[in-house]
Amino acid sequence: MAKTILIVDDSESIREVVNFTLQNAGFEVFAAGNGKEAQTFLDGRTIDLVITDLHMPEMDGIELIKYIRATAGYSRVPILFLTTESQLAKKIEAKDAGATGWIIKPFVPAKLLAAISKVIR
Amino acid sequence: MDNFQKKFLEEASDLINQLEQALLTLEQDTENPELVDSIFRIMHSLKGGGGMFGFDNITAYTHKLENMYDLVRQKKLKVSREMLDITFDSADHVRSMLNDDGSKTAEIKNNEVILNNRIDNILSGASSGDFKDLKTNDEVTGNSDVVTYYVRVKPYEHIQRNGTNPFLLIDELVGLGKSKVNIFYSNIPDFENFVFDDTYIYWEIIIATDKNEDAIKDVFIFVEDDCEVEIRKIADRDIFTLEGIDPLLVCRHDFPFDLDKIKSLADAITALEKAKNESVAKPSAGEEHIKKFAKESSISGIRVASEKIDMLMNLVSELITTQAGLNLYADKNKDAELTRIAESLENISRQLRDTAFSITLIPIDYLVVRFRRLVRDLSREVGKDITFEARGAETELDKTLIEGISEPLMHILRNSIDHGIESAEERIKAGKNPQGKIILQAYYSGSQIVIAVTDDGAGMNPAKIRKKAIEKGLIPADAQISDKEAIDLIFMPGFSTSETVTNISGRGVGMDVVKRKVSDIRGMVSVASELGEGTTITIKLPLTLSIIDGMLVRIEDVDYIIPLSVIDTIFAVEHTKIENSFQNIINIEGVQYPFYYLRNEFGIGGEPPSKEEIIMVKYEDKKIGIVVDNITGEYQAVLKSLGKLYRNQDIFSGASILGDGTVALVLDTHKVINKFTKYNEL
Repeated sequence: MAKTILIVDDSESIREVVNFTLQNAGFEVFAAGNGKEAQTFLDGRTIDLVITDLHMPEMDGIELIKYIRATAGYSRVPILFLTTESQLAKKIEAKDAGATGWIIKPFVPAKLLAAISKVIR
Repeated sequence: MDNFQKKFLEEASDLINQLEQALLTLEQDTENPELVDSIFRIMHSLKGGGGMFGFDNITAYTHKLENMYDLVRQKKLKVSREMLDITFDSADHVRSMLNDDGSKTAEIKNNEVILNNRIDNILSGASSGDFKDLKTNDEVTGNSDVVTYYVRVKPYEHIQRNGTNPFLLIDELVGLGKSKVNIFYSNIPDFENFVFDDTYIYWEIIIATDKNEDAIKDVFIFVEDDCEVEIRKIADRDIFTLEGIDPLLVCRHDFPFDLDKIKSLADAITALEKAKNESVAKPSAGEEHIKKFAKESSISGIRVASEKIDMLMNLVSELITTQAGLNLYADKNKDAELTRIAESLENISRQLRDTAFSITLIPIDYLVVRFRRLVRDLSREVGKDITFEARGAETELDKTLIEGISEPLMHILRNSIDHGIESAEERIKAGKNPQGKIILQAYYSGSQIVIAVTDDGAGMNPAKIRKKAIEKGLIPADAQISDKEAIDLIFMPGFSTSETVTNISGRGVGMDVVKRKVSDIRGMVSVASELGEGTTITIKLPLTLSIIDGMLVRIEDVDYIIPLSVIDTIFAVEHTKIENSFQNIINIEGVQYPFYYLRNEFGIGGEPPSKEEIIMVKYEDKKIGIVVDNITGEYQAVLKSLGKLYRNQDIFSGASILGDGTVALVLDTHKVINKFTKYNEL
């Protein structure tokens, strides 16, 4: 069965590029525009991987990561966050919050898939 | 697969056998141009055939080897140890390409990369210049930048809490090259202290890769803060191809790799190769080998499918049965002319039978080549210096026996190499020649073929075996057994003398399996061992042929056949003498013989004749009588196997159809005596 991935980002273009790349790679992809939407989506559903941006309205990435880690049933789900080279402090914060790994923006499809292959297969 | 391909496969496997033979000889005499020529020719034939019949991979590969030997022919390259090793390995490689059913393709590919690399290494040491086409090959497969790293990955206990799966990282790392992974379980706590999500295991990986250190670091980029990763370069080369590295890379959980040893081996070999532009040429020690090789390659023969031979044997059997019918008819009709024709037909069919038989016989030498190779490879693997000598290799065996005996012999040899022969240091300490010796001897003895494997190793210690057998519950602790009996315990199922299990012979398969396999082909195996002197394991096989010269005898109204080869003498005796004998011992012409009265042993009722025949058969070094009613005469018996229902007995080795259509049972006197001896002793 195809692995399921939830992409959480407020930028529609990022969501689409991720969606397109991952679907082509054989994943089943769901999308959410911010942490709150992701929360609603996850409620009662299983997911194999969450990819989230850190800066989002309503509920940002760090909060979402903390929420996921604290929620029964999701505490071991791998989470990758999207970040840029310059945001070192944020990276540490996200890791401390419980993220599994990161993807540096901007990225090419191969890089995205390589990062994913480190956490699910 | 089409017919041509099949034919090529057969030819190719012949060629590879020839190649191995030539290599073994070349190893003794590295300067011999004729041997190099013949190796070159073999490569060439393999290459050509491969191309014709769609084995392009073989063509491509042998092309490289051919190039290498071409350089030797042109004296631009000298035969070296590594070159011989490569060629031996190549023989195996080509063999596996031939046998590949698709399941091993990846493995073969990997193997080929490494072999190519080794060939390239050799070729790059050759005088360069006018070999443009070799150079391009170099570029295609040359991955000379392979480096071997040691990586130790020890995750912190909490690593899984942020969704990391450490196994995936190990997987990713292993994907970078050729590797060995060792796992350490020792930190796993007992159940009470075990936290479900915590990680307790850690890994050691030895990996040869053309990627750099950063690529390895990259694997662990997400978990820098979640685990210890230690990366060390251990060699500027692929250590997996090193001669003798395998034992150092055996993964044993919780035992770390011996890095120092691995490193020093790699360094040593690298240094050696650097120094190696001079060859390993030894003074010619192999004159006779060459002669032998030349002789062997000049024997010409034809290849016949084994089904055709089986068919021929069947027809010969039928002919002999029919001819027996004719004899019977001629006897009845008292027609002189008919008798003459029947007799000359019998004569011819006897010769035909013998000739047909000789076709199915294969000299043991067929196995010896393989054994030489085995001894050579294994002794190197365990780091012992062992010579192998075969005597009586021309002894011929039925091809089914050759097939059946190969595995047990292989096993015995492995045991000798692994457990029998001591290490050079121990041998020196014991005042022996540091070089161990294994002798395989084959010869005919009466109706048997004897194959004995002798090593001059440490021998078996009866006391130790006894102790082990008691430990394993094979014999009661107070059992009184002789040393000989103790040594025989090695044939008991569940007995394995080696204290450490090695990857060569100690796979839990013991001498009991050897014994079983040998008895499958109706042979017997025995062992003699002298502590400190060595061990001899002897296999005795019946000359199992499907047509035998027999003596047709009768008890009541049933015919039996006793093989002529076991019969010593025949006496006629009064029934009363048998009746009055004590303890089955009869006195004939002043000599006492034990005997078995088959009428009683078989439980046949009826009235025995007043005069009976006692046939003295050879049993080991004794003569034992077998009493029958009367003797009909000599008979060429075509052995037919008995049906499934008769599988639980072994005193009849088969049955034969007589000229008049009745059935005679063929007695295996050895088994008959064994059986009744045991029975009577109980």
